[in-house]
Amino acid sequence: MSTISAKDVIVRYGHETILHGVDFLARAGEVTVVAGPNGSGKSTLVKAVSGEVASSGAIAINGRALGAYEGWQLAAQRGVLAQETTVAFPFTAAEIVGLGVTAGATRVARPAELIEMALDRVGLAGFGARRIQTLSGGERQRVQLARVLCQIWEPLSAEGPRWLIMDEPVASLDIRHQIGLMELARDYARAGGGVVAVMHDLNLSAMYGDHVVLMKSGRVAAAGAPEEVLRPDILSAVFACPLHPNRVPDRGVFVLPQSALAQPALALAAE
Amino acid sequence: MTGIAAAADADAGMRKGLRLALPQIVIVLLVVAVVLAAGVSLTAGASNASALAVAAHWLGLAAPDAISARDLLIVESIRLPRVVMGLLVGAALAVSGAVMQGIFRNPLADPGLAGVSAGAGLGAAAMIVLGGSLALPMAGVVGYAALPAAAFLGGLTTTVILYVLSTRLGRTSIATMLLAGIALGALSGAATGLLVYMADDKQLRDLTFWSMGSLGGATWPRIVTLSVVLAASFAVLPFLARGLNALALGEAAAWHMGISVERLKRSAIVIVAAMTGVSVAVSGGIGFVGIVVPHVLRLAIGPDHRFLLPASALLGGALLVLADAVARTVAAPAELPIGIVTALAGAPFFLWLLLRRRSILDM
Repeated sequence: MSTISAKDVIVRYGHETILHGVDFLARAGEVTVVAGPNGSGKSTLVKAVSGEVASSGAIAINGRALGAYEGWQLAAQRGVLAQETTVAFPFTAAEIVGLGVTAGATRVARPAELIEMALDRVGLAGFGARRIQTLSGGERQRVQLARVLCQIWEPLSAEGPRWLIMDEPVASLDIRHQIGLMELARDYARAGGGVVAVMHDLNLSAMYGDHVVLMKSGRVAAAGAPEEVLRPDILSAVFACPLHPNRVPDRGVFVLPQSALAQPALALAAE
Repeated sequence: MTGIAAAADADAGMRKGLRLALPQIVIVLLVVAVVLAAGVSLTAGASNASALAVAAHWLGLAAPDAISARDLLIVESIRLPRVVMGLLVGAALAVSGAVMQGIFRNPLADPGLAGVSAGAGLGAAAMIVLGGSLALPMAGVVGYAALPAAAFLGGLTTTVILYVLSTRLGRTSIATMLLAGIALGALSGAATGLLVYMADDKQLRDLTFWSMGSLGGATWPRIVTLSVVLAASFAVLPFLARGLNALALGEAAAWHMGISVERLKRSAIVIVAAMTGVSVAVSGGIGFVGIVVPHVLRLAIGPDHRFLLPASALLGGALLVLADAVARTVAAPAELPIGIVTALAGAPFFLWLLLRRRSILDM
């Protein structure tokens, strides 16, 4: 049961229902992308499956119910990268990444080496001694990614695959690091781990996603391989604006925003 | 790899190595500072009895009549308990500050500023004024523990109210916390004032003592109570330290790293209330130690709580003992309340901190 599965997940904040009975499945070995318009419940779904948000319904990681995990067991099985992480005190990059080593199950003789490897992996070799507040937004996000990586360094464990769960991980990154992060995610999946990522960029989703889940208004609108899901009719309905994905032979789907579409898109958005 | 990149790597490695060794070096230096501060404080005072002479006497190195019985009495029975209590209270206040700052994720949190000390003071005042009429049958049994326990409950109640008021959906607003702290402090102050109004002459003398803080009430039984509470609290600190480090990234991130955030917050709040409560019970309200000490140390050794908490205990103890030496000597033979000394030194520092970090208040 190398999956993260969710059945009939309902999440309410006060009187507001954010998720109306969502079913979700992510397989290890794949990059699962969760996409959809603002407020569609993507982040909430990911928070529910990572255990951060209370929900009704059945959520299981590797076939074991979320509630059956102790906090430290969950920490050893899945790492979570938030959209943004604010650090309260002037920790150095290496100290932040070190928190991931402490939290994870990978026992290393010399944590400093793992920390340096992780920083190198996210393109921040030599940044260990820098205070986090002196780094740019994108660099900070990559430090947090290195921390999460240290927590789940080996994609496979005796308890099944480990999971890398990310909420809009590329939002603050430049294009080179967006691609770098997505390749890292794909490598993690190819090595046997599982990846779940909330994404806004449909092109990156098409390029790196093995499985795409499209959300709308707290429900799953479509789920499947990128070429099945990223179709003009589905995308236009989900995003409430006319979108015309194209196909490049051997390269898959891409969606280009077209300025001529700006007018109807705005009109539809105002509906 | 180019030569420049290799050099940069080596440089980074060196700086990292330095950073890793620094906290340990500073902690060793602080231990020395504690010993020196204790020596200075044992020697300083209206009488010119010397700590060195007394130490020589204790070790049997001095001639039997090298030190007068009067000097020995002054050092052993008056100054020594004061110094020991100063070390313990200073450690308790500084660690309380550091833990509270960690829990509130803000360097401006402090039991004194946030009204926790005032709440503890109210608990103590209530026990002094009303306690006699309430717990008569048990007075002999619980008499000793009653005052610290009342101060602890007062501090705990204030901390919990403060936390609930200033935290919404897991986020603590520093502005709300400071304002709520002012309100709670004022409320506790008013209630304490009411108790002062009701108090008789003897109770009034006891109460006056809380308002400004003093180590003058140092006795060995009080030191024992303080030691027990501190030992119990310090035993938990290693577990707190890891959690507080993770919590610096926010509650969600800490939880994802396997930290039981609710349990962490609960134990931290109980420990802060216990340490603040028992400190206030034995020495009254002594301000600014909890905010100045952790901040200076964060600048020196970084924010890692595994080092910050023990270093805070040492520096807090050393500073409070020195402040007491100043309080006893500047106006000798009269004595200043120690709270005045710590406020005179700490308040300007706090203002400087506030100016440097003004943006924090806009959160």
